[in-house]
Amino acid sequence: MDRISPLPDDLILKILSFPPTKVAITTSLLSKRWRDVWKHVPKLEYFAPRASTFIQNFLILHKAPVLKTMHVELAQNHRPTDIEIWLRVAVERGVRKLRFHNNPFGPKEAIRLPGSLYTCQTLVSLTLLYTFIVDVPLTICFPSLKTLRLRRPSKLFTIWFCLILRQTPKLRILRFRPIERCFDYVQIQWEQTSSVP
Amino acid sequence: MSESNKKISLISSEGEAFEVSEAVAREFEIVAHMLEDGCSGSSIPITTVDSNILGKVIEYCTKHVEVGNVEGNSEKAEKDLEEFDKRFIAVEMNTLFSLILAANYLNVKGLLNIGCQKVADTIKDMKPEEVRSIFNIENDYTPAEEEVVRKENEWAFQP
Repeated sequence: MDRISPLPDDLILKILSFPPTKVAITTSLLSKRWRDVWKHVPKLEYFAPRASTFIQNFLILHKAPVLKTMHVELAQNHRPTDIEIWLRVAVERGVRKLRFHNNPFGPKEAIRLPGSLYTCQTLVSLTLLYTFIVDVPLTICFPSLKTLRLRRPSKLFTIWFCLILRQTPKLRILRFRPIERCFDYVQIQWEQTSSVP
Repeated sequence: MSESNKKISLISSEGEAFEVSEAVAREFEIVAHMLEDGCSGSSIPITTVDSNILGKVIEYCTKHVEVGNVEGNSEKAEKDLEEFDKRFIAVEMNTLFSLILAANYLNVKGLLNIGCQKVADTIKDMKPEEVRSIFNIENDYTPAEEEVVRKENEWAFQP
C-alpha cells in the first residue's frame, strides 16, 4: 500500500524540506500527485556548479508564498548582479534563514548585497561565507535576527559590525566566540530578553 | 499529590489505557492544550491512534522527558538522545508512516521531525523508480506524460 502519496500536503512539504532542492524536484517524476509538489516547498538548497540556471529556474517556477530558507553554495563564479537578484527575491519572499557560501577559490569579485537585505524584517539567521561585501548602507535593521555568521566578509566587516550593534535596538545578549581551528570565523549570537535592562 | 506525580491515562483506539505522568502527557501538545483548557479528567481518549503506535509515541516522549530532567552533562545527554532517536526511528515503512501521522495529530514536534527526516533520508539518493518501488507508488503517467515532466525539469536533473 502506498502510504506516502496520501499524506496531507503539509506533511509532504515537511518531508521535502529536508533534502536539497534537487531531490524535491526529482519527485515530480513519481506520479501525477507529485508533479508540482516541489514548487511549494519553502526552501531552496543548492550546491553545485550549474547554480545560475538552477536557481533562476527555481525562483521563476516556485509557487510557495514564503521561501523560508535559502542555502546556496557556489563552486564557480557567478555574476554579482545575478547573486544580488537571488538575494532580493529571497528578501521579498520573507526569507528567515539565509546561508550564502561564495566560491572561496575564485577571483574575489565583490558582491553587492541588495539594500532590502539590510532591513529584512523576517531574517532570523544570516550566514555569509567568503562573501566580499561592498556598499554597506547607513541603515541596518534586523528586528528578528538571532544568529549571524560571517567568514572573511571583507575589510568592511568591522564597520558593518559596529553599525549592526548601533542599529539593532533590541540587542540584549551578545556571544562572541571564534570557532576552533578557524580563527577568521566569527560567530555572534544574540537573543532578546526583557529581563536585561 | 504534586503536579509532577499526577498520572493521566491515554486511551488508544482499541480502548487500551496507558498510564503516564502528566509531564509525559504534556509532550503531546494536543493533550497539553486540553489540560490548559481546563480538561480535568484523568483519562484522555486518543481515538485515531492504535495501541502499538501510541505505546511507541509514549516511549519516545518518556525518554525525552527523562533526559530533559537530568541536570549536568548536557552534551552527553544530547548525544545519547540523538542515538536514541536514531534507533527509535529505524522502523519499517508502515510503522514509520503511522508514527508520522500520530506525531502530526498529537503534535509531538520532535517525533514528527525525525519521522519526516527519516523519509527524506530514505529517498535522498534514490532514482524515481526506486522511490516508487520502496513506497509502492503507482506511476499513473503514460510514458509520453512522464517524458514531458522529465523535459520540463531537465534543468534540475543535469549533474
